Amino acid sequence: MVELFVTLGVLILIVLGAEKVLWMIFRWKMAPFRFPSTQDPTGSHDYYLRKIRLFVIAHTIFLAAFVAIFCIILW
Amino acid sequence: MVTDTSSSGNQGISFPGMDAGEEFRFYFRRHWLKVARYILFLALWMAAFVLLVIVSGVGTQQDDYMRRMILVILCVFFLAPHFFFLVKIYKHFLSIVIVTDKKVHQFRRTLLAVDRHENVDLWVLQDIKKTQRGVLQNILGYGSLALEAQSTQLIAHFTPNINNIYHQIVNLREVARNKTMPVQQQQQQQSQRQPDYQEQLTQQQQTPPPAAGIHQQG
Repeated sequence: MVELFVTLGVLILIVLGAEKVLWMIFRWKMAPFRFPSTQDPTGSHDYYLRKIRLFVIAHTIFLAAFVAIFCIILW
Repeated sequence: MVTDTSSSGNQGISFPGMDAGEEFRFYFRRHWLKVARYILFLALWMAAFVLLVIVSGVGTQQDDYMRRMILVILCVFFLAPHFFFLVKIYKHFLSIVIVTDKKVHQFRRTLLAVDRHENVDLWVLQDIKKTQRGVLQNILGYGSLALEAQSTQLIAHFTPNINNIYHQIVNLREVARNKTMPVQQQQQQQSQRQPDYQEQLTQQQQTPPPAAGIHQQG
């Protein structure tokens, strides 16, 4: 049981760490290119950044959940 | 994904590589179909993952150590294409074409490896070509946009809403030419006048003053 939790912890940490690092690099590279969008009624410069952030959060949750369920079932 | 901000206030908008006198007009990214390729790739990879789970027999493996090792390898095999896909999504949003009233800037960037910036002046553009090949490009309205100047060529593939962007750039080129040409003509006139004036000066310096002795003899 301990081995399962350790393995799961390592895998989920890899997922969270990689997502976070990639997101931070993306935000840093994207920072000078934030332009207003006509798709956003407020004309916010962060429209796409917010949309991508939501996608990244959902993607992280999906990956972590899949890895956890996959490992628990087949451990 | 085209955003035209020419009607809204765009005085405060700036980006790396923008000159002081430039005014932001609009920007666009590549068509979403470019990303759809990677979604297809991801779907194929997931199908391969399911096959691998079945073939590896991880569920029926009696040895605990072997089963767990296979499980970890399968997890890595599952995660790798997802991160590859995420990197491609980021790359899609980092690659951008910005059109100002004077130039067209194309940025092609990845998260770490590539950071490329090309730009071409609008008023020197000789040819602006748009190409839509195939049924899909014509239905979805995207294609390749080629901006050709004397020695440079800027090509933007997967340009979305290409007809609209093409006409906007043609119009902006005419406006830029009208703004820039009088100044250029003045400079040409000045550059033409200066050699004449200098030639006159040099001619005056080169012609020797009339020698008194010769005239006396003549």
